[in-house]
Amino acid sequence: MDEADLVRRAARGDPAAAELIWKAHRRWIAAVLLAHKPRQSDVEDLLQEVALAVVEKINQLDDPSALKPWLRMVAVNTARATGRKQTRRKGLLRLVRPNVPAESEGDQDLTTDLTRQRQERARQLGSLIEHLPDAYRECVLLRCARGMTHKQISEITGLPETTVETRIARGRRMLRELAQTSPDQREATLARSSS
Amino acid sequence: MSDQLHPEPSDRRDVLIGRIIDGEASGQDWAEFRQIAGDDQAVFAEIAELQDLRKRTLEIVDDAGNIADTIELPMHMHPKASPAHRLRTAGVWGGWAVAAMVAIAWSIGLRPGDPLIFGEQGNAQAGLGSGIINTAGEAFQKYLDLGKESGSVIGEMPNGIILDKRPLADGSGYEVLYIRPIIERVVVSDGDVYRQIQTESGQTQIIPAPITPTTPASPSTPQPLAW
Repeated sequence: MDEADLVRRAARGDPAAAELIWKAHRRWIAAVLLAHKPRQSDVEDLLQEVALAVVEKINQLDDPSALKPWLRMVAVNTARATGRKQTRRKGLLRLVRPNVPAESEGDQDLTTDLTRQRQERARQLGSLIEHLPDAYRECVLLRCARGMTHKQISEITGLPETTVETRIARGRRMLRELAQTSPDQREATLARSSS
Repeated sequence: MSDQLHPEPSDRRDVLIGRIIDGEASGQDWAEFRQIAGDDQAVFAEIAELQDLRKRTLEIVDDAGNIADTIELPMHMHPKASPAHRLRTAGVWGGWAVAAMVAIAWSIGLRPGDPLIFGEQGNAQAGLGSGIINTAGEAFQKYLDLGKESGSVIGEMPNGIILDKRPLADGSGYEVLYIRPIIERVVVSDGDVYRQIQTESGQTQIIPAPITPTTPASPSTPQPLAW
């Protein structure tokens, strides 16, 4: 059964078809969320929101063959909407706690020491990746999703394969240059690298 | 950032390096790369650095992918699932008291900004019908019930929002701030509606705003609403 058939069945409420679709695509959806999520957002929470949006809206997908770009759009919109919600939440919180810090530190209380080192390494690289232009960041991360080829990234993003490959190559070069630069010089490095 | 419209010589070099670190370079790619790199030995250090960055990026993306593998679709929320099923599922996640709901939220690791799922507050809750209200929770339930009867309250949204959490100083638990959204209903008549305008001097003024119904008026007697 091809993917378009699965989409049609999922739109009619067939849970098995929807599960097959979700399982086939959720890993790269996580990469898209990583590329577009606000800094303090949690990928797991965003994935749950995307999963819910997929279930609620898959019957609105007019062209079943456009599943991948549609899933990407759902993920990007979810990540951006979360950023807006976080801003609103901080505004509300300041009403009751005027001295609330800009970023809550409470979440760290639940983190074990064992995972902290790995998280720190990932955080350092993550902050470098955040400096990449959006278009490059998404391609670089998608390329690292398990088994993802230039062709598949092209299908997801709607970009020509050659553009995908160029963006990945440029993005990686920028990432290397950023890694060699002190934090206060990163914007200038990026401007030079992009020009 | 011209991508393919104006490819630069450095792009070709970067693309070839990319194929090498991805292990996808053909013999032709290698030959072309050697020609471009020439005697520049530093390029091999560059490849090693890029390979390390790629490996670390793979780890980050793989971690996210492993999380994705644990997320299942909430098929009970499909539009074709019955409303009763959808509501019942929300009820399962809800609790009988706020403390219980917060405890459920904590046990599944919700964070500030996450939705809290509220179920319907059951009629069996303490204090209802007795005429005596002892707690804020009972008063709130009474408010919902009376509001539904009179039509001024539609209901409580199933999703609340956690604003913040912080550990208590004595270590006995957490303080959690959250919002419980209520949908209320009000009927306004012409003469009771105002709008805000800005005068030429930039000052804000409230002025009457006559309303002209474009659809037939709804029933004047509020009906109790099922939730």
